[in-house]
Amino acid sequence: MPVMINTNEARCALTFSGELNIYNVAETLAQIKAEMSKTLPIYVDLSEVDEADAAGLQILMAIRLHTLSHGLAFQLENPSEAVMALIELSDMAGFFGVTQVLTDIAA
Amino acid sequence: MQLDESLQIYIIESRDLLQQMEEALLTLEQNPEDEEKINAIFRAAHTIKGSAGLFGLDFIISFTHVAESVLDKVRNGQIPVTEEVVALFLEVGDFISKLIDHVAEGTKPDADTMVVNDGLINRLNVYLGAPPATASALPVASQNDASGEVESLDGVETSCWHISLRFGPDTFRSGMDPFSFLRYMNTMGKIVHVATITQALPSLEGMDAESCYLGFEISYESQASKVEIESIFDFVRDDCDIHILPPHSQVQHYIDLIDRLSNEEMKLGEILVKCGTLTPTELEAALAKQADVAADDKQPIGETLVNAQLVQPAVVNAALEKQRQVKETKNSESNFIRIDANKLDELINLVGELIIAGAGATLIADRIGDSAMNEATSNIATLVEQVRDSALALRMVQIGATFSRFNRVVRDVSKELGKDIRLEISGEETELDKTVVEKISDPLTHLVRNSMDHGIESAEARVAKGKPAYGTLKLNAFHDSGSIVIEVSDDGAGLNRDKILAKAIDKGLVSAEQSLSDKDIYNLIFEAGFSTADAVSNLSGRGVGMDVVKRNIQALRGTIDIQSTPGLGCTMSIRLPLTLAIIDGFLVGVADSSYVVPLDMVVECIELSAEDYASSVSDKRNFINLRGEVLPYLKLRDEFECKGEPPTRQNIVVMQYANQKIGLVVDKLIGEFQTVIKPLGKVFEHVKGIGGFTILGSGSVALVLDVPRMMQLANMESIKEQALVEE
Repeated sequence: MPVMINTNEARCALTFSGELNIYNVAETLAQIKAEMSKTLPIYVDLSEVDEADAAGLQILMAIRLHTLSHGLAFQLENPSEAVMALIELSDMAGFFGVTQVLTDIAA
Repeated sequence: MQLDESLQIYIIESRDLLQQMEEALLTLEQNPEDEEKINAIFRAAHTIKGSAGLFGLDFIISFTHVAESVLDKVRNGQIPVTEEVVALFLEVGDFISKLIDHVAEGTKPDADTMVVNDGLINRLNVYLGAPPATASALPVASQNDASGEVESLDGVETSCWHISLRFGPDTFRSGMDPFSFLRYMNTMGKIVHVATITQALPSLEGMDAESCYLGFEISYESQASKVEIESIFDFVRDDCDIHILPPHSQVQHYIDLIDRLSNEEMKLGEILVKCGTLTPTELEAALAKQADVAADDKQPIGETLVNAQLVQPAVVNAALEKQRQVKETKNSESNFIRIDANKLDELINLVGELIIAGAGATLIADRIGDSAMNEATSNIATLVEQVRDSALALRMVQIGATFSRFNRVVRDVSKELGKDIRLEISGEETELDKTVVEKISDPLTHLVRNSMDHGIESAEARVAKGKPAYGTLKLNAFHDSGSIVIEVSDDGAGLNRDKILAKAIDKGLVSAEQSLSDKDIYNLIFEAGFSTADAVSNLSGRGVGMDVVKRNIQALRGTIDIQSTPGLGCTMSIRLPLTLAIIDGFLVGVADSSYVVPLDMVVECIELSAEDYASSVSDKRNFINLRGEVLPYLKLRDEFECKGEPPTRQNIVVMQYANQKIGLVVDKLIGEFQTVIKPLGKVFEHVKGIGGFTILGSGSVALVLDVPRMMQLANMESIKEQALVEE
């Protein structure tokens, strides 16, 4: 199970762990499509991700775009080094709101 | 995505590239003006380095980078192509090949290797006075002086490259990670700014996790040339949209870029500004121009540029030509696929079984005598024959690749011996079975070395004899009646008949009383423990080798033959069967057994007349008069000690091999038969005259005759006979 999805009335929390890459993105995305709330604020915990690649990051981008287009809050918590390296490489810290602690509601 | 697999491909490709590099270097040595070859060498080194980056093979990158920098200067004409440069790069090639070996073994270079590494780098650095100049802009610009002006005419301010990437949907599936390209770019320069383009990403619902929707706009600072930067993306170029704009590109190029990507419904211009590639003023100017161009959109962009006098027509033509070339190489590349040789072997085996099964079916159909059935089986037989031919053709390779390796051998050995020897190659397009090619390479190397060492005289000796000071070694190949002939010839002194004989007597190989033909004497050099070299050089002359050569060739069911003219040179001809697996055979019967001979060698079939037969019994005469020619023959019945009486009508199958004819007397001529040659077991290894066996449609076994060997037997007989007749 690459991602744990916990939903309560206030938010939907996604906890990724282990690998987040081309080998498991299909499974991960299927799970997200099925279980992730489409209306609640999204919290993503990436502290346990020890390997990531563009395919993995692409899923995060899609989630982020989803929150942007639906005007939902999005927070990326504790990105591990592996994820942070990619976010820096692609200069997407702003996009994911990594530097901001508080939720970021799209304009 | 199997990293192991792609690494294997990298290793194979690198070795191919190194081979091409070596060939190009050797050509360059003869003809230093050949720009095409310089480029080929550069490309080889460059691709090896570029792909090494994808696997993180730092020791290869750091070494090839220096080599490449020097090559870049050679290419720009800053360093002349001298003998030293070529020699240095031959060493560089050898060393890279050693590094690749390390990759193949999965080891890191050891201390010794690093010493060589540092030594070579120091020698390369001698050529690198100043750091390489920043490469210019257009793909062809480096050779074109006009381009410099063009770029400054209407260029933008920034000194960074701008790279626009849109990865294709299959990028992930083909095992690529877009980030690895970004990382690699950081090793060749510095990514100043990157904007990740997510516009193509569909909604979560519509998204396919394994498709890539990403794009990047990158502002990049690097000393690399455009070709180098382009080659970073070699692996994904096919399904990606890549635009690379050099520093100070014309605003026009950005317009073009914006035009092409505008279907993304995004303000690319703004991103360019954000990347620092364009200043806001430049963007405005560009957009204004874009409008102008749009109004005039019937003109291709190339013409627009020329009309605006921004680019000289020559530059555009050169660019188009370049594009065409790139396309062509790409096309020819995609015409080939790599296949595991084992799979081919398996296919050939299956085809062999198919032939045997087919023959069985034909036989049964014959017996049943149903005409429709017969027709069907004969159709199948025709198809099976075609399948067989195409399957065998799959394994056929041109001998050229093997031959061209000798360029290096000849070069190195002639340097070592202090002789000036040139290699001439012909017939390189002649095809033969891959397994044969692999096994022939060693014996061939030995023959070549032998010719260079013993055959070709020193320059002084040659001049004294009125020959050109440089020796010539020729490699030639051609097809001849079902076999391939490979010739190694030199224009040296030829074999010394008396010396060989004296030595052979000395070594006790022959006795002094024996009377031997020149040919027999020449063949003595293939005896074990024979060597005529006065001095033992470290190449040959130790008396091991020529006998091994002969044995290797015989193991391939081949023969070797020597023609030598004293003072003028010597030619060694190796004759090999085209394939080791399946042949067109001719089936003959003696008593209850069947035998197969290769159809290619059959010239004709004639009847053995009653009187000839009578004289063969009474006088033990084993030859007939075939239209005025003496045809020695062998009676298979006697040869294989078959029981029973011969029938009243016997036939002679006339066979030809290597310009010799021989007749085989058989009881019955059965006809053409596709023969799958199966090797005999070890027990029968020493049976003379039999090359293997095959299974007939009926399930019974037929022996395949080794005709060359039978010829040797028959010749001995006929020589004796002729001697008797002459007396």
